Amino acid sequence: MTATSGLSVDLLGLTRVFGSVRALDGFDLHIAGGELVALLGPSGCGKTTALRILAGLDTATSGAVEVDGKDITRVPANKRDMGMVFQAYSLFPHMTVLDNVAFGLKMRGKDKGARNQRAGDMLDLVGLTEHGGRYAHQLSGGQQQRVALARALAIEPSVLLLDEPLSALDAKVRAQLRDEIRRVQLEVGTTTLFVTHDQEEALAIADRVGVMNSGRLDQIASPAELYANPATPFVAEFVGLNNKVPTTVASGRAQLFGMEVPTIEGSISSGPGLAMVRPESVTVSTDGATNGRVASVNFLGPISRVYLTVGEGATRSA
Amino acid sequence: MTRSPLNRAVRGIFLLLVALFFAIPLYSMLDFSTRDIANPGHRTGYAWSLLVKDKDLFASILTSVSLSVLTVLLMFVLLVPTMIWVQLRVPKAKRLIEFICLLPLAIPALVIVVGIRNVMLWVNYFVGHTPFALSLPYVVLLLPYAYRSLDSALSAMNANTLAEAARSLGASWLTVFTRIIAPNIRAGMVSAAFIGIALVLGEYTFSSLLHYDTLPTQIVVMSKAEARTSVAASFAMIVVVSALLLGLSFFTRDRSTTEGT
Repeated sequence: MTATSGLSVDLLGLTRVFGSVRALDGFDLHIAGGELVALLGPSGCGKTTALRILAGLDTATSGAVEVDGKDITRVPANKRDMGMVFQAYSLFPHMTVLDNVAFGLKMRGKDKGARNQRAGDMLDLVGLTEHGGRYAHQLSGGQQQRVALARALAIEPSVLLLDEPLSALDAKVRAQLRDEIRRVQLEVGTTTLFVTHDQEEALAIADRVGVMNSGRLDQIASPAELYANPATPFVAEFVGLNNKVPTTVASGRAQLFGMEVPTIEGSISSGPGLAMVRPESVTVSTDGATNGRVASVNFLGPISRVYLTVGEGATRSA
Repeated sequence: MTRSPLNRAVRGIFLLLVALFFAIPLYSMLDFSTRDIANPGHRTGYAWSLLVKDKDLFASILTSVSLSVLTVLLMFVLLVPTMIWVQLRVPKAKRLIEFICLLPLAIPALVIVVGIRNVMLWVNYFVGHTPFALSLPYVVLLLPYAYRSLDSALSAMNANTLAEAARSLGASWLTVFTRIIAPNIRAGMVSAAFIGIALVLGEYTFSSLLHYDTLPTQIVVMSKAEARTSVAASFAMIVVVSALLLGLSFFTRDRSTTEGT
């Protein structure tokens, strides 16, 4: 269940130009209160730029930023009341874990007792209570990012911003911390923007996923909707694995390997095209309608990926 | 890897030669400065006592020490905020700042002295003929070394991310400078300070040609009248500067050796 105590966020027509590069090109995004939205896209698509503009760490060439309906476009970063977790480890090396978490509260003039109490509660939330007296270099990468999360949440931010916080971690820790971020976010109900280039991460954690391409939002939808009904070829290609198969469409049905397959909404209704077929939609059997030769099999633990040579030598995965 | 006895012997011989290279002149200085001329074969601390008793020499020691502290403070005021600001806000200016700071290395001190003579006349006109005016050209002399130390310290930390983290938590730029960046470049600042003190204590060209009385100029003057005291002062200065450099290696050693798992 998603909490709804957070504030809504609107990025309105954001454009950011770096020299001759348009990192953002009329970017629009609405995040409802308490929602976790993941921005997904390849390197250089503008997702981090959008997040930094929301945080006040970068300035938009044009466009506006609104939180709870209030325009904060010109408000400096230290007055925006946003918690942020960075891709790079960002704990202050000369402070203990407890002092790191309490730093934002100190900046808000809270007395020592109150800020240590709150910092302790936040460390408890991320399961690091006993590490309060340690320094950053005495923690693992995963622990450092959990402290950074606690630090960002300690100030009770109106919006939580996560800039690829898991990308420096190994796979197992990444999955654990991803689940923990979601648990904590649901618990505190803070509106959250999560930037990542990892589709699995985005699909697993977010209420909605926005796929960015060349400074624009190609599609924003729930993970299931995004996966099942990609709005553009870019989204279809970027999210999940695909087989690209030349086809002919007639009356909303595509001819594939001698079979007629229904197309999804938004596809062309007739004529030649390129079908994108999810590997899990293909079943490999000995008595199918299409003949192919198994080129290779990759064992991936819970699943195996089978590469088939079909027709005139094209290799498909299933 | 185990070393053969021959390797160990060669290494030992080289170390011994290097040690002798430094130790023999130092021993000679100590020997000469404690020699009792009136009673050959005896030792005296007379020359060393003059370091405190000789008013001119003692004043020059105080002047040089005060001057070194003032120079270091001025350098910090000028360079630390500039370098942090450039690192965080104007990274494009880094090359220009580096070029300006390293320039004094490429220009001989004698040329700089000739160039700033007129400027120093104006300085003397406004603040009087005080040796503390030397702190201004000394800051220029110190720039290349201080820049290198501070730049290394800034590069070693993730200054931009830490500054952004602090800003997002509500810190003003002043707080970012004083509570986040400065404590994390402490080793670089200590290093720059020690190098600055060592440089000022030993600087002769500027003070001599601009006619100021500092410890090095006084040592030269004294060497003509009381050679043993001048050698004692030189020896004391070498010991002080060596102690400073030892302190430098102690304060700036890497203490973050415990890594997380």
